[in-house]
Amino acid sequence: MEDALRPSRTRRETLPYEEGETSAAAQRRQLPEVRLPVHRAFFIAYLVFSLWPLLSTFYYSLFEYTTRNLKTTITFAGWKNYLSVLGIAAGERGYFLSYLGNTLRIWIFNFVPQMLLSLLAAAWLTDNRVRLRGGGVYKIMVYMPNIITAASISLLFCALLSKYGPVMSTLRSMGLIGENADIMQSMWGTSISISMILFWMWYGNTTLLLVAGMIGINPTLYEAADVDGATGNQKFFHITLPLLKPVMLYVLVTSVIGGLQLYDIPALFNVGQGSGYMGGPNDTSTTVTMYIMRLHTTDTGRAAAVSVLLFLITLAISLIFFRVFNGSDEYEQARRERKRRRLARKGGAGND
Amino acid sequence: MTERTKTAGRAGLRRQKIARNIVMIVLSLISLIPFYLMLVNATRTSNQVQAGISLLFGDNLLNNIHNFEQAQEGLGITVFQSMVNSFKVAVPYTALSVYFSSLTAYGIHAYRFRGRKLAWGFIMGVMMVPTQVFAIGFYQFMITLNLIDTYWPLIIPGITTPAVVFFMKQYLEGSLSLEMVEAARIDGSGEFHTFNTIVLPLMKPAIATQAIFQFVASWNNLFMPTLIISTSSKKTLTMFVQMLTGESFRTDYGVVFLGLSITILPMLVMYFILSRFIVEGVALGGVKE
Amino acid sequence: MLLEVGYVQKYVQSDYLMSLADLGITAEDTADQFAYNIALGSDASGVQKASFWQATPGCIQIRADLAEAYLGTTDQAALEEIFSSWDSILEAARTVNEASGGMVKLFSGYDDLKYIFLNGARSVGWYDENDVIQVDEAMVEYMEYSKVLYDEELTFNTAMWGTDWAALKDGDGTSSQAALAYCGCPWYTYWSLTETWNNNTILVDAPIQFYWGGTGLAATVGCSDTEMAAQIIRACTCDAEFMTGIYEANGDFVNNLSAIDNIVANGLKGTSTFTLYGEQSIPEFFSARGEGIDVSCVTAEDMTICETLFPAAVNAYAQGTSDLDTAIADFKASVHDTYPYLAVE
Repeated sequence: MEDALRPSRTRRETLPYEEGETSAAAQRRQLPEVRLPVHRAFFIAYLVFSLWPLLSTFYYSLFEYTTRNLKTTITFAGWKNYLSVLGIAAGERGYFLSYLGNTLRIWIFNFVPQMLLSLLAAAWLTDNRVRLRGGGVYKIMVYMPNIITAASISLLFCALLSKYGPVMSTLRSMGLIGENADIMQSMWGTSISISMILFWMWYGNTTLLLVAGMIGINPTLYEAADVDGATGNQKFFHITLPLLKPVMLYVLVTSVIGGLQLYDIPALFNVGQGSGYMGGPNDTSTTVTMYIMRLHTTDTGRAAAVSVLLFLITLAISLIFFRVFNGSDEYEQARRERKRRRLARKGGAGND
Repeated sequence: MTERTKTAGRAGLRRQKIARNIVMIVLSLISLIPFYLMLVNATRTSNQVQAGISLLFGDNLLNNIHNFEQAQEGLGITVFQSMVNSFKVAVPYTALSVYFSSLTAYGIHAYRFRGRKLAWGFIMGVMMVPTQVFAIGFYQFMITLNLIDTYWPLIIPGITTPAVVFFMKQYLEGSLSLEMVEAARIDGSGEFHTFNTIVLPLMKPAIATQAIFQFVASWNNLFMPTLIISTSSKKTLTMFVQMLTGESFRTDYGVVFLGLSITILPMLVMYFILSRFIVEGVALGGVKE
Repeated sequence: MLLEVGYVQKYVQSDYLMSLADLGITAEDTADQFAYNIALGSDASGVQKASFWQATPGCIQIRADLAEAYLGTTDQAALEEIFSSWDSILEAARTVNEASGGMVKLFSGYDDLKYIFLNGARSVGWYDENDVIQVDEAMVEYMEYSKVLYDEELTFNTAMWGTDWAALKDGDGTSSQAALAYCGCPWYTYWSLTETWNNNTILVDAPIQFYWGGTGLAATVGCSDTEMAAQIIRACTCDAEFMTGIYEANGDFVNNLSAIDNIVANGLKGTSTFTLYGEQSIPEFFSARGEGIDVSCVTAEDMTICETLFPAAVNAYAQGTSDLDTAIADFKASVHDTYPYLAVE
């Protein structure tokens, strides 16, 4: 079990089947090639539910949909939808870019404090010198917001923070503010509020993941450092953090992907007439996914274009993070390793 | 270390301990307080709620309930109906997701076949793609199949949930001994049979964990149901919450909080019953990246 | 199907609705309807497809007790005078704000005034015959007016239908904030005003005559039972007796001249317990105001533009986030983004 818990970098960089190969080698003798209904079913399922929608989304993005008085005309438009959404075509606003900006802004103000606090909390929870009793209870408390429906949470905070709502009234009666501030009318007010809600919902999750990662670090490393007279901080920055890289990368990538897809919270927070289409004061907290939702009934083409752009951005960001975190020489090392193994396999293939 | 430094060290430790405990308690309270406030506000009148935060329960609960029921009438669906709908979607979704993901993970892990590397790469790739990117194509696809405004488009995608496949595969790598499978095969057990009778029971902890997470994911989903469902009576709980921002509820804070309390309650209760599993499950999955 | 004024034109101009003539409802049957409602339900060539059972001329509703305290009068004629021009309204707003120390303001938000401008002051629609977006002078006037109200803090800056907007109806002016007046119309009076306003409301005209909302019926082309559909539509929107019954059931101001005359003449009360201050009666007040409403500037895209896109522009300008030209440019861009077939220029 302990083995399984250790976040080993090599495990991730090698392709999974390499590891299984040795134990499966015995199988290979009996079943050189297995064609089971399982595999066919798998291929069909992923084909139908993942590949096909993905490709067809891209396909739809190439068409221009005009809906007027309930009549929809569809014409082939090539890249027009993309240009329109990005604001490159003449007379078009780059709404996609501004919504992307909103989305990223909300995400950053959520993620940075979240990571910092979670690291701190995780460090405390796994600290062997300063043992905290009740760590288990704490974990349970802190993870709870993650389980609750984001939509409800969003509305809860919207009601609590509204201009004549309880929070403002209390602050005012405590004399902290002169008169009720209207968060809903301020772009930063709404944006930071949404970020804080996100933070509140996810920092429990991040903390738990980091705790698990920290537990997996070999304690003998710390002991060795102690012998060398390292301080707590030194141990943290030179042992813990580097070895936590895989977990932190996982958290970072999943957080970005989730952040870019942010829908539930801004769609219910401060949306005026109860529709999830335009966020915050004057469209300043609308996210990309809200834009997709808004477009998809009248203009499938542009909605699809926005989706594809979202996908490309997600891909780009994930790749950047992988590269940055892996460091270029480790990446090189991994590639060399893989190349060597590939050659070895080719050489050994004749023995099958 | 000398005696003095040792006791000084220990005192310092104790101070740290107290300080840290206090911070932990504060953080825990922060996680809990909004819910507590929600429940309290559900029992007060709208004016009381506006007047300020109170930590004590009010006495307007019955009145709020009455108003809530009235406000519900215009919606075409009651909150309990929407909960049932959410349940109707979440249960089959969870079952499909957990079963097929285990199957897929087992298929990739225990067999060698052409395109295995490609298949695994594809699954991982899919995991990275935001749901919305599939959504448009998926939506049009469902229109042609005439399945819009039914629950099928919300349930069937449970078959392809790459994150669960990933989790299951990691788990299998650590805990499945292929020798057992070998033995079963020699004994004449069919592959499917082997999977169902030997592998699945072995994966129980992973299945339990993922079942919970997938159920929660389906229950909390807002985007897909909003895309697919249009009939009022079929709306899920998350869609109901969105309706709480509408006209009939706006005017009465007490009623809004009551509505929220009702929508949150099932998850809250489930969480406190299963909290240990959930917390352990998070750790189990995440570390294997 | 049920249609709201905000999107009725979208359906009327589409091919989805049957014309009333096809259903067997003639011009004779609809003769008793208010002219503006007939226009709202007809397409560009004058063929009526949608029929409304509600008529909704607009007004301003004033809370009598607050008017007494801060405007010094509850006389309807005097209040009419105050609300007869935008300038006098501004003056009154300043008076009320000062006298109450900011606890009571004339309106809940400048958002409340939008229907007066949108539905009464405009002479051209949101786009011309070449589908180019245009902004009526009256709209700019509204934006300017809102800015003044915001800068001088003469309203609470709420958005309509929000929880705070609703809360201000019930304030008592001393311990909690309250708004003195709300824009209204018949259905607003019986549906949106709270107990605090019962026997406490005075109706006056707005500076410009306007209408607000209204619900109607139409039959879709694929209708399976046109007989039944025609019966329902005829009963609800043309039959004076039936419509009087509607009024008696819930106080709806019905779209039928003879029914209204009947109600006013006989002082019919209906089951609604809501009464106005003093001697005013709802049907009597509105009966004189159903005529002469001009709806030529209504377009199919009105709902989104008037409810979401335009208020966003007003907010941006009034609160100082953008200057006038930027706000209007942003507005045009957002309309174009929502309806790509409408050009910005």
